Amino acid sequence: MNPEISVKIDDKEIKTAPGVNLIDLAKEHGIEIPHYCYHPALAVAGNCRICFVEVEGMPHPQIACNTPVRDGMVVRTKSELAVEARKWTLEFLLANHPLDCPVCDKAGECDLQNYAFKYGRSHTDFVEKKRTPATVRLSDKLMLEKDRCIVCLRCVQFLRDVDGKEELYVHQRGNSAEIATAPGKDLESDYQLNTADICPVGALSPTNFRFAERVWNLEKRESICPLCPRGCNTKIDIKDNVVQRVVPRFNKEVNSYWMCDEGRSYFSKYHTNRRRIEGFWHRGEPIDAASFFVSVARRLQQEAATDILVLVSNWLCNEDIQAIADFVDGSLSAATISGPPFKEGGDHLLRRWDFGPNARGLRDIFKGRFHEPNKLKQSFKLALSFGVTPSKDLNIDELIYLGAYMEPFIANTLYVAPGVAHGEIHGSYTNFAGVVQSFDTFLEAPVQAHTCEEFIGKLLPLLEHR
Amino acid sequence: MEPVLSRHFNDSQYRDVDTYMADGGYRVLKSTLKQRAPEEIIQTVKDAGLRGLGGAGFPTGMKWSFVPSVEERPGNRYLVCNADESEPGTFKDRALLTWDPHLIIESMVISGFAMSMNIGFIYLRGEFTEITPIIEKAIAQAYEKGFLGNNILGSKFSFELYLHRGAGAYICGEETALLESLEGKRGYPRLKPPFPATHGLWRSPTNVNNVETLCLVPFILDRGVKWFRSIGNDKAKGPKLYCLSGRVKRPGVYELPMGINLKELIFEHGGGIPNDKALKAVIPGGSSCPVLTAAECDISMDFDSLAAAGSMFGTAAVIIMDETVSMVEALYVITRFYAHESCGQCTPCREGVKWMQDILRRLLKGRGRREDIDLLITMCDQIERRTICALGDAAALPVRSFVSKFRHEFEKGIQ
Ligand SMILES: Cc1cc2nc3c(=O)[nH]c(=O)nc-3n(C[C@H](O)[C@H](O)[C@H](O)COP(=O)(O)O)c2cc1C
Ligand code: SF4
Ligand code: SF4
Ligand code: FES
Repeated sequence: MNPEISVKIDDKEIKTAPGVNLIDLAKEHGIEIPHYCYHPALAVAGNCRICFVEVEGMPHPQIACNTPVRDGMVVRTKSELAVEARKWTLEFLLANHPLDCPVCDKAGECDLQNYAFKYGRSHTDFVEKKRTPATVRLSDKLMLEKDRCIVCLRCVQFLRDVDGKEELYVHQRGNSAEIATAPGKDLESDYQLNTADICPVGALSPTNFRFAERVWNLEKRESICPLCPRGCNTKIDIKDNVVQRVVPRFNKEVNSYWMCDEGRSYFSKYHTNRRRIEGFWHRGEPIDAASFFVSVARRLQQEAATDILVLVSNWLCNEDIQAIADFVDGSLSAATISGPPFKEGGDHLLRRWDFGPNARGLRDIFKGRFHEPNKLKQSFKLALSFGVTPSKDLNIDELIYLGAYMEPFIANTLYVAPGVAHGEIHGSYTNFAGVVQSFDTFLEAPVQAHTCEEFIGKLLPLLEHR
Repeated sequence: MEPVLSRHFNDSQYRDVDTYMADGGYRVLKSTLKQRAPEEIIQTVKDAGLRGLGGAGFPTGMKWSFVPSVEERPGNRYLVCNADESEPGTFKDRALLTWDPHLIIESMVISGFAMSMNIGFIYLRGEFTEITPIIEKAIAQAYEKGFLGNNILGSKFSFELYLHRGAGAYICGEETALLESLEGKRGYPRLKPPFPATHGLWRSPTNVNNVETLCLVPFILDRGVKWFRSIGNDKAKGPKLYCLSGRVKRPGVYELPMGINLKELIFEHGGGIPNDKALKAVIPGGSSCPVLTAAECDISMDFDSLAAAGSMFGTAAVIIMDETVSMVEALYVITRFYAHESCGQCTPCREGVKWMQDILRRLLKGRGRREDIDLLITMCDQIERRTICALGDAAALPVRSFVSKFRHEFEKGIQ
């Protein structure tokens, strides 16, 4: 078969391979064909009928999402037939829609709103009584506003085909069709919030973002989820230096269009409301920065390097870890290097069981010099920890700690310095499969917080003065 | 015409395998397995010109030849008998299922042999509860006699047959929704292509035929193409079951040649209209077919003639309306049915058909608006051929025809 065929979409002549899906081809060439049910990671459902186009030779409009292209095919996305068919699909979809955009969280990023504006009619012929099904709770994480649902089935398909959980189904038939869980059952999926992302309308809403913010008021940034070594690519919405929402960002290699529910709540669970280490501390008493670094330098020099344990967190970026590696090589080359234990494995989809993003980067940088913590039997006079809460199994007399959050052990710790948290630094993580992913800063760190690089930068000159 | 399909109607003794056999039953199966090659059977069905009687009228022999060969696609291959008969006005398959279950089994084994299928399903309309034990018993008897199972009658051909009861959804008569339902899923019609011939039940080669279509096969093989083509007129051939209902003196199932004149069917066989009322309109092929006015009823009942007249032969379910029938009410009842039976996948069908029902209800109650009638026609334009399956068309076609042909009655409903 001829690998190169020609297709004409509107005024564009396109060379492509036969059998390519028309809707994908159009998108690739910058021609928008509206769609609701179609999603590149789900099986073609073909039910919403918004993607109508005219194909020359066919008397009726065709759905672009289920049209494999043929040589010589002539497609019109703006012909009267296509435009009229799309208008009516929107008319049908909006007939029973509550039109409650002012109180809908999806407003501003809703394809019903967007397409209605772009492709819809400016009036309606519908004067009948609207269907008004109730709003229901699907789980602690998710609500369903049935009156906004357009029954595109993306949510059902995602749970069934991607997550492998038949937890959502269509209840009733025809005009009464609605999305439901099995009677009396909550959604249990650990990935259920993906359904809210792919819901093209405001029918599914995460309880943790419901009525919280208007999306156009949020600052939009991109990042990498730090919760596990998968490193799902994310979009971060921020207001007042607080992360309001995390949603996945497409990365074919790493996480496709998805991320787990836990990763989305990383900030609310592990960051936003946690008390930060704001200043420098010496055994529970405040100490000024200058004295802190002088004292730490003196203390490090007092011990033989062989009696020092350097703990490096798997939450640090490669750049910080490299800075630590260079520092140890230059100044404490006889010290022992370790870090948090590594938890093998993961679930059926994305989640890896290890807590933190960069266990692989940590081990890749230190290579053979890194000691797995469970194999460390000797005792140390002093530990210098970059973000690692020392486990009780470690035998250490004294601790110098650079970290972001207040912990109970800090009150008795020899020296404590304020560190930065995820979001406050830029750098890269190496995911469990070896993919190096860089990310940017999107949160402001506390004034005194130091990255490892900065911390070492201040310590080094003092050590060299020995 | 000598009764063929209806020869055992109203006589329950033929439900028993012995009586059925004493009347020549399973004789054609025996001779077919011994003497005929599968390709030869398919060719014979093609030569006879048999067309599907489930509504669409697709040439049966051609449909069978789309099924890939066993060499190409080994493994399980399925023959499905569509006994979901739910189109309003249609009750012909029900008669066959009630009175001649062994004819259906014999037809299925023969047809299964022709397409080298090894598994058969009878998908029975859920509401046919009284038919269930009849079919169950017949299947058990056919197994006992060796007409089903392994190496049927000592041949190399094996065929298992199962009865599957639907759960009360008209849409499961649509062949791909039927297959989804058989797979234990929600009865949603599938996007086509691919077609069941290559990707049917569990993605395996599958053929779905209507009960009546299948039941004609043994007769064609036994009596020959010439006999089959001697019945009917110049447009269509073979025996056919017609269902008469509505305002007619003798409603029921009639076996008559293909291509019978519609007026003759109503007035001679059906005895005409009760109480000397005048004929107003006829739906010739089940509720989804465009209505004919009384003046249009002098017509041959066959696929092509009715298509030429802007209607459809459908399932040959003739619904008769006299001068006292309100066309608005009749259409409301039909539209309510399709709104209720839409599976709800496609936007135009899910939203549009219920909307049309609402408009018709207002017109019926005298609360119509001037724009409603044109709106109904526009909606038909936007539902027809805009959906995954033909239910959207089935809902729109009657609306378009009723409203265009009897517009004055609808206008009376305007406030
Ligand atoms: C909404 C809908 C309902 C249908 N219901 C039936 C039915 O009850 N029985 C039937 O035989 N065919 C029914 N059909 C037609 C089937 O899809 C299919 O064409 C038929 O079973 C093929 O058999 P045939 O070729 O022998 O006619 C229906 C089609 C549609 C679109
Ligand atoms: S809830 Fe959203 S994703 Fe699910 S079917 Fe409805 S519109 Fe589609
Ligand atoms: S046309 Fe109607 S019945 Fe057929 S698949 Fe679409 S919604 Fe379902
Ligand atoms: S996007 Fe094509 S039918 Fe929904």
